[in-house]
Amino acid sequence: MMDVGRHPNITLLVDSEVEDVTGFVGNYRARIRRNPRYVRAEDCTACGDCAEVCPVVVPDEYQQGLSSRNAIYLPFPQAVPSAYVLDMDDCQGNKPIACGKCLDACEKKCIDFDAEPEIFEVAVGAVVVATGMEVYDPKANDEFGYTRFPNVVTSMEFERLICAGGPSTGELVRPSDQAVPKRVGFIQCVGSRCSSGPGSPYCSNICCMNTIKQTLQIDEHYPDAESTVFYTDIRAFGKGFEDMYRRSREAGVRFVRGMPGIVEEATDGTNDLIIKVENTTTGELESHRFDMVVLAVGLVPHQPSTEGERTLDQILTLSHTSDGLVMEAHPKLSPVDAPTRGVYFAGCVEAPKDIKDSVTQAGAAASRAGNLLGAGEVRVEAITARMAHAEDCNYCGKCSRVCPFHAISPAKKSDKLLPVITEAACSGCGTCAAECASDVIGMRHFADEQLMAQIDAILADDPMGKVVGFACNWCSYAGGDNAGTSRLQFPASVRLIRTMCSGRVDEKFIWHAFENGAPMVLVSGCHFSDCHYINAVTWTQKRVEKIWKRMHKLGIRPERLQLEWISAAEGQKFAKVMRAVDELLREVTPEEVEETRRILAETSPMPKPKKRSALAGAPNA
Amino acid sequence: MTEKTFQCLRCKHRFSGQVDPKKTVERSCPRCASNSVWAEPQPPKPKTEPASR
Repeated sequence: MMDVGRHPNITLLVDSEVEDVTGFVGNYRARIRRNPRYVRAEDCTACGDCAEVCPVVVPDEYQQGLSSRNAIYLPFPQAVPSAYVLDMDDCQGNKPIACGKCLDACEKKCIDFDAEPEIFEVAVGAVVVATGMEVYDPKANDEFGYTRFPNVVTSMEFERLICAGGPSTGELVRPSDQAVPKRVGFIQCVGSRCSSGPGSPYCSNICCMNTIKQTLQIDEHYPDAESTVFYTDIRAFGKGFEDMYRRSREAGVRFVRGMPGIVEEATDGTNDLIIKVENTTTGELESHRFDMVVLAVGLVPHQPSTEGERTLDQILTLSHTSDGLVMEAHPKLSPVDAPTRGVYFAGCVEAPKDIKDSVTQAGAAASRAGNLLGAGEVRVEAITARMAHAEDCNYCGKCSRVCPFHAISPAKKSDKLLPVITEAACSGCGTCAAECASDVIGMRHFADEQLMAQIDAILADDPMGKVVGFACNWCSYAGGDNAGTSRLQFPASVRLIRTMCSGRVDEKFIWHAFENGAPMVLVSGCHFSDCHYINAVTWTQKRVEKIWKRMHKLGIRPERLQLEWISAAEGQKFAKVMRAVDELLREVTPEEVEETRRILAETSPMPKPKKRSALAGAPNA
Repeated sequence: MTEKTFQCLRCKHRFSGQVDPKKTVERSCPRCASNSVWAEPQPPKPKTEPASR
């Protein structure tokens, strides 16, 4: 922290929030709101005279509410900058000044009751997101009697209690009577690995080792105290962790495999706690008595504190997995990159991790950002959208609305303003090209002409024995590779056309396939939570649903268009889908295909393409 | 949120589910796990006879 504060190339903006980020890789503009501190940090010497006279006393957040602070306070001893801050929500008021004792006590006269929020913009080339996670709050569901029994504390509260800088100056005391506990029970996985209800479905990664560390701390400070850990399974992977686990067991810590069913307070007035648990190793029901119980609470993603607060994914165009964690550009090959170019992740915002992993990831993110900025120019893959036929634009604005990366500026009919594609921001999903009804937008590579030619080639010979399949590059096509390398057997009737994203599959490709005698069409892509183009996959589903309805209306069986989400790891599902689609293929008769062709020739569900010069429509023009 | 009847376009299984018109969610058939699931179109409302005068 001190190094960061003193580094000549780092500008530390404390008390600040990022309100908005616009632009694209190498050229972002961040709008920042600096909230008033009411104390000029550059003048404050952190002498504490102001806090001594402050009459307001409120719970100290840093000490988990186990001790108090004043309205003017030092956030924590190692805070950077080392300066006091006045919390105006707690202060008796500044307009007019209701108390002003701190103002009089401050020798340096660095308290400024008139400070106002400051909003300014900074130009940045890259953004590193390191917003961390929050600790699971067991209050809401009264986990293990947390709200009813004073001696049930969280692992964070325990951390403050045993810390030399904590409210009890390192003396471990239980909250009910300030006595040193002789028997301490730890309950693991509180708010983690929850298959249903509150809490997170994932393992929070840090809780097992944190508990083991705390049992060793108890053993060091109070050799007579007994510690018992109730766990589902201990996850002590990583350098030195197994050794630490062994040391804890050798120190006499008892590890009981089984999650407590109930925690009760003893009826003898001691405020002791009784835990009833099924020991799954012995199969017996056990009862344990403790002076203090510690809940090893997990980590949860940050939730907007107020309704309407803009979330990170809105500000930075990020996508989240189903469990609320941000999604990387690629979980294995680009683990610190966001899908939006020039945005990187460090620490727990990406997934729960310990200090060592957070520091490693922060180094990687800084290095990635440094590489980008040092290069001086941004190189993008050639698979980007382009204005192929700008003259046909009807200013509908759909391209701009569907772009997951906000790479297309909106068209404006009144000013005859055409959409502008920022190719540095475009990732090439092709959703804009697929949604543009006038074919104004084309793609460099995976162009309409190329994909249409592939459809024609598939149907040129024995169309009745084939399914025209579209598979996205990242997931379903990779799922096919997985099935192949796993030597899974599946029929070869589905002929796959690779696109970067299923969002690229234009309605006209599907109609073209049916018009040319395809008995079946399959569209496949990533699961919603895996979409490599943020939310492009949702547009695929909407488009397919629209086509199903149209098919139904035209008297064509919607079953002949199948939609499947297959991840790269789902080789089994890929093979299963191929078998299922092959079975459906056998139900389609040549007469039905001919009837479909007749219907489509008569009704023409897509507008006829305009006659254009070959040069204007060329994929790489 | 409104309740709708869905039909699987692979195994023909019918089931009901909640729909939030503002949100597009991934759906799958509870029987065969296929994602080819569509909300069945509502049958056209029967034309009401004009009230006799």
